[in-house]
Amino acid sequence: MTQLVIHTGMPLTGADLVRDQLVACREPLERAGVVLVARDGSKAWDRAVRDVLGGEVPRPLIRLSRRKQQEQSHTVLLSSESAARALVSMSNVTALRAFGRDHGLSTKVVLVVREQLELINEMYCNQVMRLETSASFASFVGETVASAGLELGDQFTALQDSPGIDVFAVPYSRFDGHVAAGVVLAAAGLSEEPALTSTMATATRGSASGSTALPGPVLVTALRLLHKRLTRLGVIRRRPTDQLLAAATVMRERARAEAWDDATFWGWSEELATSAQQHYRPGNEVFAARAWGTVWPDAAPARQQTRLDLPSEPPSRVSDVITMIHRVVDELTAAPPSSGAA
Amino acid sequence: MVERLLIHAGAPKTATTFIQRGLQSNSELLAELGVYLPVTGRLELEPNAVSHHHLAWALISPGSYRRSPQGWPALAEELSHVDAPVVILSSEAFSRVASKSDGAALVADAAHELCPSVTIAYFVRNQLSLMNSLYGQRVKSLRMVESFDYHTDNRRSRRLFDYEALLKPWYTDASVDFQGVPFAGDRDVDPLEELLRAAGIDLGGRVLTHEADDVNSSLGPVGIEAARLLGSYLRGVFPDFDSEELAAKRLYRLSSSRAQTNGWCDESFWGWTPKTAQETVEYFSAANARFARDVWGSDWMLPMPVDRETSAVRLLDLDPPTIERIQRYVFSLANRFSGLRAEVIAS
Repeated sequence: MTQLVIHTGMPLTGADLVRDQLVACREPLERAGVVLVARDGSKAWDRAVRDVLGGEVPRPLIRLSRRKQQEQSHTVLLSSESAARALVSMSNVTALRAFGRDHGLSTKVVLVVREQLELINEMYCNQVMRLETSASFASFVGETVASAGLELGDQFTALQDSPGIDVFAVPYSRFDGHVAAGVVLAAAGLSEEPALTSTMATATRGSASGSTALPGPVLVTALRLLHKRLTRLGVIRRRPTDQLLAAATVMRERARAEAWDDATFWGWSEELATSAQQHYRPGNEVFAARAWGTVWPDAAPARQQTRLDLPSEPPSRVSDVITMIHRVVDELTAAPPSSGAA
Repeated sequence: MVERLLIHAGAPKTATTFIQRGLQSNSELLAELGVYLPVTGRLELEPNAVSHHHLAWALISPGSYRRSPQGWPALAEELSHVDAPVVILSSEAFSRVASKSDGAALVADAAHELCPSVTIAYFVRNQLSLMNSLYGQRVKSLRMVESFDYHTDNRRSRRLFDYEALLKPWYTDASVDFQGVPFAGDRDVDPLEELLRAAGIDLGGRVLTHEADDVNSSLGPVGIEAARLLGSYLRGVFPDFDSEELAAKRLYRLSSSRAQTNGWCDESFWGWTPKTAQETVEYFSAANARFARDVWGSDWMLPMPVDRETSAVRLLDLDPPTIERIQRYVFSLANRFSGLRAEVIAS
């Protein structure tokens, strides 16, 4: 019987890295009987998931299933971060189950889950780095917690309880020191060997997220100040995303060149972290009990908040930050708006 | 013949500028009452105020004032031609002298050289308000860029804030008439009148006049953050920046005026949280009690505003329009500083 494996996960659980590693070892995977549904980037994979949940067989899957039935291949693999968002809904879970049943597929979902404190910290950094917010970390946490999007217990109940779908949860921390794609394959009961052979896998072994390093507190501060100035000057509203990202890149490169930071950003104060842990822990425990029959495996990191008071920083750094912000603002306000401007 | 020398020695941030300007604007009235205000030792930058900072500085750095027309020998010479019964010297910098080891004795000795009868008046303010106010002043005058918590943590143990340690050499000196004047910052009370009353100078129903205080407004929470950023930025762009240089002192006046125009002096800054305030009150409690007993013969009489609500902001929490104004403030004043330096050199 052919099986359908969907790899997905919470935000910032290395989905891009897993997909890239899988694509990089496509041929060894095929030799091992594992076929990837899509060849190119994340959009094609996401589209395939939408098709599946919409009851349509993705075109690559049709081709593959014909060919692979003859070859008696057994696994079709889909990797899509957006699938996790879709699979919180009962109707989508039902659709997936129906799809498997209608096409004679045994369905497995490998779900990568992550401890929320680190996740929220990274989400915040990413938003600041893309000049999407100048909000304080505390206010970002307030909104994120209130949105309930990262609560595990409630989120995946429908999926975990669904007959006909086997859910294999993988803690994100398990990627540490391992090839992420190999961990996903092994979780689905497949051989991880094909993933271990690719050069990309070797290059990224041990890198959990595969994303760029987190920014330091000075860079976060500088980008928040820049965002506020650009908001005031109407630039955030008028300029297209690529120009803003380019401006953020200029700041990031300056931060690296001038060694603004010697630590990475950690926004959690002890009080805020305790409150968030109390909020998420019950759901995590419910999820862990269902998924693994154990307690939640990842302890919340005990790190000290990186508090930054810009005027107290070394003056040469302060003047560099302020001058850079000024320069970037000047360039953005002087540059002609591109055709992509809103 | 001078019969009595009154030294108004501080503390800083107890309306000293107001008092010193009041001395100047009421000099004729005071002269009628037999009070003489020496010219020697006055700060040139404050022509409208009687502030004898040079005399205090001469005690700290006697070498620099050996032949100065602003030093104590010059004052003795000036007073030798004076026949007013009371002479007043005023400078909060005397408290700086007293805060140094054996500094209090230096002040008393120098005064006794001029006149056997010496009164030292010192305005005593609760330490929470004093430290808060001093922090604001240091930030405003571009001398300090660190946070309030850093300031208070690092300066709390200074003798300036321990009235017993600071003032005991004066109030236990039998040759000095020490007057510890409680300062509550009450706007209904004229501090100059308080000083004169403490020194036993009777106004005889006459009314003191005061000029408007246009420079000395305190920075509010936003102004504090703006001035800290300016101070830090200046030090980064001009690594040899010195808040004591003349161009910096002129810039301070400009930046204060700009802050006032921006409305950054409309609110009061209060950096304490109830918790840090309470800790500080407890820290000073025993010394304050002993000081009060020895000087006033009573319990400590100044209220400690422990429960006053914190009124401070963090730069990053300010809204975009305010951030934009701060950035413009910092840039324009930093540019102006280059010009001020050039002007100082040229003159």
